[in-house]
Amino acid sequence: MNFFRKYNRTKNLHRPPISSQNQQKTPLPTFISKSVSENISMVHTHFTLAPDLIVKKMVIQQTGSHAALVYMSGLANQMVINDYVLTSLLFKEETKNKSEDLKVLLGHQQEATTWFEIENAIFQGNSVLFVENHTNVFIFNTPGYPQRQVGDSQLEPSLRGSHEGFVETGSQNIAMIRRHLPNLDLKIKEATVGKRGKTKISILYLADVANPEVLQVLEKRIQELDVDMILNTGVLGELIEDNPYSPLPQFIITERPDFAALQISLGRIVTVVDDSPSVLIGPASFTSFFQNIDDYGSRWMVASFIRLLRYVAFFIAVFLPSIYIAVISLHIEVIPLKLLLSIGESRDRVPFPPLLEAFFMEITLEVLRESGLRLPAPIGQSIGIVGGIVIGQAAVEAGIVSNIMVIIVALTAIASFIIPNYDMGSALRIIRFPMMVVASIFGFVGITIGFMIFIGHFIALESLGTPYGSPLAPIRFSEWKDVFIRFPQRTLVNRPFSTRATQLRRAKNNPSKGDKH
Amino acid sequence: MKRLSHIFLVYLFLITMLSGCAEQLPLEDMTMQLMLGIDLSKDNNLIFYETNPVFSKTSKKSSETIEVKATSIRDARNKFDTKVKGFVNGSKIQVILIGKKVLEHPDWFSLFDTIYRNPKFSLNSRVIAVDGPLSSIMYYQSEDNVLLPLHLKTLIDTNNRRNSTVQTTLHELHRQIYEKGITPSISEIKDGTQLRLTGTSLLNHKGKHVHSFNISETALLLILQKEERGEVSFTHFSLPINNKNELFHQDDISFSASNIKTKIKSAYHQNKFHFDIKINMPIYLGERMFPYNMSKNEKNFKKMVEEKLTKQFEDLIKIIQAKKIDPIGLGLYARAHHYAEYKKVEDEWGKALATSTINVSVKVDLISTGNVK
Amino acid sequence: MNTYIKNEITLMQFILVIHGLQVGVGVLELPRKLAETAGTDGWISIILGWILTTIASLIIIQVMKKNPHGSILELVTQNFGKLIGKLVTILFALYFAALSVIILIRESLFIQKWLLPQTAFPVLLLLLIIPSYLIVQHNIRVLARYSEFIFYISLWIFIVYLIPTKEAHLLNLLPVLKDGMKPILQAVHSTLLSFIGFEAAFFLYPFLRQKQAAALGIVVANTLSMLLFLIVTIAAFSFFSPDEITQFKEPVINMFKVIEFQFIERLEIIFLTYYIFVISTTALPLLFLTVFCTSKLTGRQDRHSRHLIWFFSALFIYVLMSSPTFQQNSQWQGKIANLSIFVAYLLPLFLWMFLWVKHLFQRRELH
Repeated sequence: MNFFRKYNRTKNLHRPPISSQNQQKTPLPTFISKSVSENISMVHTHFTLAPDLIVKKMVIQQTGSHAALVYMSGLANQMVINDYVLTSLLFKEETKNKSEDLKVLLGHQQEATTWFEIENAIFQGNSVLFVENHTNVFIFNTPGYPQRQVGDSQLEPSLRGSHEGFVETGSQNIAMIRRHLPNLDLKIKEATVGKRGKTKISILYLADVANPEVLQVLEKRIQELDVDMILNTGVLGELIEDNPYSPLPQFIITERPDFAALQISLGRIVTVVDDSPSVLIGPASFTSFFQNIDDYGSRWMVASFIRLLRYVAFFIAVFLPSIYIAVISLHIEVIPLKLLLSIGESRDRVPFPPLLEAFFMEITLEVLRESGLRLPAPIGQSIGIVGGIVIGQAAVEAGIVSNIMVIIVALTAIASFIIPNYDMGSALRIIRFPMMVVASIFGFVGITIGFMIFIGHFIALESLGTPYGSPLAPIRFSEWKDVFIRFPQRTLVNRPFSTRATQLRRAKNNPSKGDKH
Repeated sequence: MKRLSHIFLVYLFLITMLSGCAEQLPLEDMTMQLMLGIDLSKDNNLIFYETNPVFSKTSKKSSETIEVKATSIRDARNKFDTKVKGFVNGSKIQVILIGKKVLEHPDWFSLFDTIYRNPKFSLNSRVIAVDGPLSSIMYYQSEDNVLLPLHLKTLIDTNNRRNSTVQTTLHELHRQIYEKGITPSISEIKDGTQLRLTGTSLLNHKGKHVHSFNISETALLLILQKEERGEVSFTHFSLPINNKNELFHQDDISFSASNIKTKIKSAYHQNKFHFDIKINMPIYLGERMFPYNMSKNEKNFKKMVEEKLTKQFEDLIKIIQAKKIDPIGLGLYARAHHYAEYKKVEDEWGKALATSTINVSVKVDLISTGNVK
Repeated sequence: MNTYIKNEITLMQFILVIHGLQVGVGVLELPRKLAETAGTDGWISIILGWILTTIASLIIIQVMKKNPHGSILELVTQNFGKLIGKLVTILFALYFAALSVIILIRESLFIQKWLLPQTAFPVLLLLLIIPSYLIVQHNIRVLARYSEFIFYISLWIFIVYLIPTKEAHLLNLLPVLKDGMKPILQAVHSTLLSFIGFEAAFFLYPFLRQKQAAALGIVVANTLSMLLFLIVTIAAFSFFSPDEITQFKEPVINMFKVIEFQFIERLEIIFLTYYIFVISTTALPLLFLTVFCTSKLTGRQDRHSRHLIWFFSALFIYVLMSSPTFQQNSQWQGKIANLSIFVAYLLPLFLWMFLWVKHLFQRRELH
């Protein structure tokens, strides 16, 4: 019933496909020619203004035929080309074997016949060998583009979890997930998205656990994409989510391979975007954003306590400023007199209405947070101190805000940072502002109406066609073992309903009846 | 269509927002009444007082008090509004003081109509009778600048915990006024050399003040009402022992009682109600001013205490019957168990109670006599 | 019907939608209404009302069993022809529309009286319309989830009703049966009105997944509501003196006015604000049923949100032009009460008898 999605999708579908090629250029022929020199000139006419393209002509010792090796100097590893490709081609003696295939000291070697494949291969850092009298080329896997070391996850540090985070290379990311789940049922479907970016997108799932319907929805949405490039996971997530007008994130984006592997094992589907250091996990439910890998690493009582704290923080982050505004502008009778007197004293010098006061502080805080983020780490910290302490103190002393408001705003900020998922934390910060406005006008009634709209939205929302509110709405008490309180590991035998997994019981081949709402 | 309707919805919402702004009234624009006083002047005009806190740090006083002549609480509010800077708001009234002169006139309760009618008012304000002119209390300034309304509220509350006075809130007063089987009782204070609590004012059905109980009588009343809290302390409790001393009351004991069990049984025969009140009192001896061989004569000692207590209760009930009131709420028992008979007399319940027989028997258990013999 | 299978609801959702429909604005006034007619014996009327309601709702389930894949509208169309089917659809649409209008207006009146006395009435109504539209525009499944969710997050209210009992005077409840059975029987009328809402089973039944448990479900729903009414009534009767309870228009709210904690006072404000959620579980299904009927009439089931917009616009314009009052609202309520009793208690009986007789004739024809 998602109306926003409907026209969004149809728009994409009916747009005529834009040709990726420049009209002024002569189109690239589909197949390659037999002559090496012809092929080389074809390469040169198409890869114009590409000084990093290297074309090495030679005579292959093994067969004695003319050939040319083409690669991008920055993307391909030249050491590998020298040691394993060129050495074997140029210096190996002619063998009796006159067969077509060449012996190269490389495991990964492919053949291709079309220019399209050649172009892709060159851009992926492979080297392409044209051989005289051959209508196919040999592609050697020699990537050597700059890569980052696998390091700790920046956004989601953890105490007990592994200390490796995803890097920008899709294949490495997949490898990291595979290390956690060495299982034949871990299937990977690949797709290339983007007319210009040609981003490789891999969908990882457990074939016997993940729900085929969900998988189909995800695949279909990815295939229907018609964009220039997928910059990173966030872009992909926004392009394929169910309701782009919702403030709530509908996919979990994580940097942690262990968390991704855990989610796969629960029946969710992970989408790896090449060139992006994070992966997309779906279908997500609201409560899954409050889970963290450390919940499973530490003992269950501690984990449960922290998890409850997060839910409390959720309410503080969304409602505390609005409740405060509502109380002091409309419902002073609900607070006990002694507290009221101290609030009255602190507000006495403040010349602004509570809403303005709150907005002033909230916006100051958001600006501080953002500026701290943009600055290099050492300066960022000092900005936090300057902002938090100096501005707060000065504002109170100048009589611009009351000190209780400073406490409220600070509490709210801390509370929004405890949410383990960055996207969810940011979403809550956004929801806070309209709440504050309605609270200042309609008081508690306004907050209730705001909350009702939120509940209505959250109940109707779906992620990949799966209810977002599960297991709260539709309610599934049996799943509550891992929602507000994390029960001991040995009791967590079932997969969550919200993944709509086809096997309900973990570690067993025990198909469930499936999740109907 | 759908999109249009959403734009329309957002538009409506914005209109709602803009037009809803009338409600806002921040704390600092408010004059928060904390105490309301009602008194009669010498020429029988109603005078209303209110006290509200002053937040400004430049002011020396923590509160200000205003008095106006008015006909009702609502009328008074309008007149207060002309004298203070903010909008007068009655939602935080902590105590309502009523001069005894007002209480002398029946039907004063109709003044309180607006409090029950207007949803803004709190029903937890304590209602206090004031012996003497109200002005001396309303303008009372203690040296340490404590807010008087808060002071009075805690005074009532802690004394209620120590069973020295009743805790009658507006809600409770409403119940006691309308309930035919009980008559109202409210706390009473007096401003002499110092502000102090004197006990409980007993009102009749119409609200007219008929009698006042002092602090120790109030304790007995609370026991009969089953409203006593925690320990009830009895001091200056003289026993019939010939050990008189001019200066020191050497026949006195003090004790406290807790977990008091009061059982009230009612019966109806010979055209009148009979109430049998049994009180079981575990006591802890706190003070004995005379030598006494407790191990030998414990029974005798208990008996003396029981007799004295029974006497006290009986005296109390005699007063109640003489004044034709029922602060204990015996009418509730009569209604619950003898509904038909009660219905006949419910409008004149005070009179019916005056003619009924009430027996009190007290049983004392001596739990502890302390650390010395 | 395809729409019914696509939008199945669970047994729990079935129970809680019906329970939500029954518990609403009426609860706030129920103790007073009972005390006015039956004194402190009013709680007995609730139990009597519950027995009648259970019988009526079991008959509804029996009737619906005859045609498990359609609502009452299909049932009537099948048995009485298309024309009468259309007529019944219109009548049901009007009935639910009237109920939802009364509830929405009454809810806004309550908010205006207790919480926002200076806000204009149309603004308050608009405030309620916006979330209502956003939720009801979806299908029954979202609505059922909503009712379920609200029920669970409102469970604390059950406990809060018990807090005032620490100031209760249980003697108020004695003697039982003080004035005989007559006033108690008279008060049954107002308890029956509190139970109104279970007739939604006529429409919810085809959506229910576990149809064999429908009878159990509806009995559980009625019992839940009965328990709540009983708790509220007994709490109020023991809290207020029987001589004063009729003084307060909404004794339940007054009861909360007295409760205070160390950190919060005037619980009635919090309670009443939160109660908007509880009332929404009455109003939203009614709104849904209204547009369900009208969209049946036009034959386009997926367009019910459009009907909703028309409905709300009409309501809003009406409210802009006239200013509703409590008296007027109560008058309307009184007028619709008898219709409600007919729809909920007598209609199932008639239908059941009709179907039974028809069944008898068909059998005879077969033999």
